[in-house]
Amino acid sequence: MRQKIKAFLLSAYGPMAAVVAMYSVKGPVKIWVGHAAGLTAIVADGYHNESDFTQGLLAMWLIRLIAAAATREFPLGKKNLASLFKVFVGVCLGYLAITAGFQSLQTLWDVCINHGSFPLRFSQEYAPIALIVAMVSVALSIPVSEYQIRTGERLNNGILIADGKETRSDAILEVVIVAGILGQMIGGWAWIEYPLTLVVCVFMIQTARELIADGLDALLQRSIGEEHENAIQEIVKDMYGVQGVDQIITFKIGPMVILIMKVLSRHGAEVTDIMKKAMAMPLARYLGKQGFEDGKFFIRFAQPDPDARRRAVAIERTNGISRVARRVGEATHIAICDIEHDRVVRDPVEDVHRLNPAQIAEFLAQKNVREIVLSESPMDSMRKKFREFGIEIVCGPSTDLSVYEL
Amino acid sequence: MSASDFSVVYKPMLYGPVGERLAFVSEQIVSKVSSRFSAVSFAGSCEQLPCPGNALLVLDRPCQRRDVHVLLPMESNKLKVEHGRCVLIPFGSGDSSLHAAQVGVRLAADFRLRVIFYHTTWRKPGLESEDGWSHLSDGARSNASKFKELAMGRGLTHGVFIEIAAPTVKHGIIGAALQKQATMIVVARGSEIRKGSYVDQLAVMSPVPLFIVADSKKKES
Repeated sequence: MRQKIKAFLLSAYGPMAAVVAMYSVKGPVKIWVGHAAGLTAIVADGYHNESDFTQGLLAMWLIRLIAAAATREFPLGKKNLASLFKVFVGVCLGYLAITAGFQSLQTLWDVCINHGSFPLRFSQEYAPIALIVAMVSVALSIPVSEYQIRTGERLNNGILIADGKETRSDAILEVVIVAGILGQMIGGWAWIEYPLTLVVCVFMIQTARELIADGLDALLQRSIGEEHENAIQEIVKDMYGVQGVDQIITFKIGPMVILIMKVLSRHGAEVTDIMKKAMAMPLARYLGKQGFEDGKFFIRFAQPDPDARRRAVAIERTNGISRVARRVGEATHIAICDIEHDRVVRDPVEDVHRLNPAQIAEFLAQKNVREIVLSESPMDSMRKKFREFGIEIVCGPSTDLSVYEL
Repeated sequence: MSASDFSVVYKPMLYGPVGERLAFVSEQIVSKVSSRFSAVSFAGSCEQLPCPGNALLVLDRPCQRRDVHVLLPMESNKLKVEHGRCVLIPFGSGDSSLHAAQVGVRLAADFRLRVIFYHTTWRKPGLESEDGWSHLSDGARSNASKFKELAMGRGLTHGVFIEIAAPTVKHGIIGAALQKQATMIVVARGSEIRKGSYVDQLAVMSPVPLFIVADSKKKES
């Protein structure tokens, strides 16, 4: 039994149960005491707590939905519900901040400019009870929000974190209410809670903005950031057998990072399967270090561009012995090498002993040859003549044909 | 003088990027294992190349010679020797892996890398344990202890990675080399294998550079 309770408290449901229980009491008590003491802010906060209660129940239901395993219909699960919930909480929080701020401004305007009175008549009799309620409320909200956020971070649960942030905003609002009550009780400053509420509204809008932005980033499948994508590419490129990364797409579904990547490698499927498994570990480790605790990788491999081109090797064949010719004019044959992936894959040899250098250049240009190898540097005039045909003459390191893979 | 102390490092003279890659890897080896010489280029086939004892050939394709050490960079531009990498030495229950371990440990010392000894074992019938050590044969267990002593003798950081029932031995070795970020895999040929040695399989398939240790008997002859 004890272990079951411990497991429940450590699960996502523990903090949410605490939140629901807390708001189920807080809301009605605040509304009653707020009316009795004549404190507008505490009445408004009571109604807000009532909506938090409903929100807590909604969060528990969503946590249950998200925890369900991926199915054929939902291959990536329903993790984006967390993002949806974040946007929802953000909008609620923003709405609350704007309405509370607007009401405060309106009251201050009425009192200061139109010489009106504060909405409720302050009651010294109920004020101490209201103060105690507000203080107990703060004392509950702070640990509960910490409990939510820490459990959310441990379980990588966006819903808990979002709701925890909202509970923390409530705590700050309650601190302001305590200050307002104290101000009224001690100095009779009925106005004090209104400017303080405006300050709190700024913080609340900031939290709302963060929640909405974070939720929308996931819902609109925004990239996790160029710096992370570059780091991922470096990790992948650092692996033997990888020639490059042709495409990388990252986004989040709820708290889960989705990585879609096309990796270039000359290896076949048997090896790239092993590579895929091996690269998942350092990628998961990197994402974990960056605060992304969940990830799903879709990595496919493709062959790199073969960079197909043609190179000619001028050959001088005498008495059955072949070697690389020193000059174009001495070439009896020319090997036209098809090169793919930096290797010679085909090398037909053409007899050119009847052709002069200009005819050889023209012949090679027709064959789309880009360079011709000789064993000695040619004269500038010859180099120029070949360049007219788009062919570069290069001086090879040896007269041995094997050096050129022939 | 370095621990590995190859008498000479040969590289084929090849025109183009392949030759440049081999030259770079050869110079990496030379700079780590000896400052006395440069890598020597040769043209033509490596099969007939006269080599002194303990020579190392850095080649772009596997060769049939067993009397010299062979390093196949496997189309890599360089040996990745950054901090955290290791030399992976697969082992079995035979003596060939002991020979590979001796050379591999010396190479790791030269490159200041960790050593990981890798073994994949069949699951012992009826034994549920997920601890690889409990499925190890006596021969492999004895080799593992010898290797640990060898690495400790050189003051190297080392580890033994035992995988239970890898899909195949070559898959296991390549997977381990990639996972452990091995700079190279060091292997030796078994003397009595007629067909399909793991060395030949790896030489065709591995994306990780492969160092094939010379057969000591052939070297002597």
